[in-house]
Amino acid sequence: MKKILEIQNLTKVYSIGSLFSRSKITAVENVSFYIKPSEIFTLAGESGCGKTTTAKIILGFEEPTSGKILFEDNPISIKKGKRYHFLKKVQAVFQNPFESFNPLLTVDDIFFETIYNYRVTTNKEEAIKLIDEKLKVVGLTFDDIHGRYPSELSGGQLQRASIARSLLIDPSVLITDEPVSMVDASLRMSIVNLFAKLKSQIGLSVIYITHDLATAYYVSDRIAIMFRGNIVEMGPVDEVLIRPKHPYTKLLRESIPEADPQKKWDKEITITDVEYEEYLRQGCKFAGRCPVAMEICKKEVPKEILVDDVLVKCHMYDKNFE
Amino acid sequence: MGKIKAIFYDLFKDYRFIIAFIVVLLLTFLAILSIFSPYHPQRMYQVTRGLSPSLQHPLGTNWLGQDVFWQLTFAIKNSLIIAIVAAFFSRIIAVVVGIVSGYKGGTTDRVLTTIGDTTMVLPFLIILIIISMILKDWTKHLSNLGLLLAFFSWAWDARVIRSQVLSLREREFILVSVLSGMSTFKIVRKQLLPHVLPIVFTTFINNMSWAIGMEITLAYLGLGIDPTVPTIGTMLQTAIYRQALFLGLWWWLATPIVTAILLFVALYWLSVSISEYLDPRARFQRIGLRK
Repeated sequence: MKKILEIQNLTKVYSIGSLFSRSKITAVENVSFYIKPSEIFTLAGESGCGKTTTAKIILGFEEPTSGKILFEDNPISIKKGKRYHFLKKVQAVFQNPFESFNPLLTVDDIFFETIYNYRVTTNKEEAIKLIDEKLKVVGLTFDDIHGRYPSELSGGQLQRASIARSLLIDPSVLITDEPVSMVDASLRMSIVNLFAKLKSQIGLSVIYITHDLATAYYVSDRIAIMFRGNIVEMGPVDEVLIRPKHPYTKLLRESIPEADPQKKWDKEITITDVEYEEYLRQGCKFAGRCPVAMEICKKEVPKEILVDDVLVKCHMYDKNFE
Repeated sequence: MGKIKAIFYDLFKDYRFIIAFIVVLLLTFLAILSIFSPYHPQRMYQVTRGLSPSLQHPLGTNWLGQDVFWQLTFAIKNSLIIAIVAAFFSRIIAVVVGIVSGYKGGTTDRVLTTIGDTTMVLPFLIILIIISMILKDWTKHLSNLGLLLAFFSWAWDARVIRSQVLSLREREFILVSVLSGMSTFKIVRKQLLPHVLPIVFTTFINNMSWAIGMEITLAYLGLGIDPTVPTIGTMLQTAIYRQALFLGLWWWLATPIVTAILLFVALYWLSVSISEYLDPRARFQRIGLRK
């Protein structure tokens, strides 16, 4: 069982406020996970839970406060900035397809840039052949994007083009940050299926960041549920989503409306704390909303405990405590 | 070429642009005409002094025995040179400082912003007066005065460019450019600069009219350019200093005043109409109002 990309104890602290009333928010707290070759790993959680920050740290757009990133067992500098050789192997696709291309340049421009900058080839003919080949994987052709501006293409086309661009240099890991949340429902499945196809055909590993548990369940092998910067539950997707252990995962499961007209959605959801207060909370960050919160939850940060293949960060499963 | 044609087609729908464009063309033509001047711009008593406008001397002659029309051609040329030098160099400083501080962020940003803010709050008119008094020999050359003015006018626009780059930096296409292996310099040149250029163009024109105004102010105080070299400012200063009105030579005084007003209005309308063209929201607003 080889690990292709491993994240160890990643922490990112933002200080906010003015000079005199500074407070610190831990956007990502002690996050560790790894992905194996040819695997789809999902990072799921509500908005503002630190999924995107984690992705940005891995890609070098943000500098973590502490932590380690290992690629094929070699540590990568966590400093912000150029990671030319790392990015040659780890590419990314972002959420908003309309924002992923410069509105003042044609779409094919960034394709040529990617090929020339990573010196895949310097020949224009060969480059066009390669671009066309990768675009065909996502159901487009070179003529579809040649000389076109982003405003001339649809969101679905742009998102697929964006995926094709990331595949140009044959990366081994693809980080996708909410790749389907801005795409209409009909295209959603085809993009998710594309990830599954790439996984099985070329052995691509995908970090799939989403808040949509349905597609996550459908496509991924392993899943990590994030809450306020912590991974609260991590394990095989069947185990985590079918038999959730952490109260937060249970809550997430329950908030998916069932397709049953007889069933009324009358469960009351109480939001006691705002995001900001939850981040500043001591102990378990979920304690304010947790239906089974105990006294210790408000004081101590829970440890990660292995229950049936699943890592859970909750006092409920702490043997010593009982 | 088709693109340029389309841009002009849109711009010519705005009457302010048409008027401004014609006036600027006319003044540029006059400036170019100075090459063919039969008289030397600085020498005195070349023609009979105090003649009123006639066919031979379209704008009359002044009390120093110079032809006012040909003086004007030199004045426009020199004023435009000062304005263009000032605008060009201040734009370069503004673009470099704005992009570097916006894109780099952190300490670099703080240092550059502090320098910019300091330049902005300096009482520049007083400092300009002091510098041009002390360095009289240096500032009397056209391009040196332009450089001096450039130093005092980059900060505002650097601030505007910085704020633009700050928001652009967070856009996803910049992240994608990093993923595509582009170097920082290439990202700035290819991805950021095209977004910043519209501001550079409109502020270029604004800065030109500011520089012309400053030159006139300094010349009126007897500072800046060598007073015998004709610029709009020195022409005005000489006319006032030599009591043109008292002598009844109104054309001597009116020429630089009218030219200055024309130039200011034309540059203002140019910048307004171009920035409206570049900001579609304002353009739609105006078209809507017309109905």
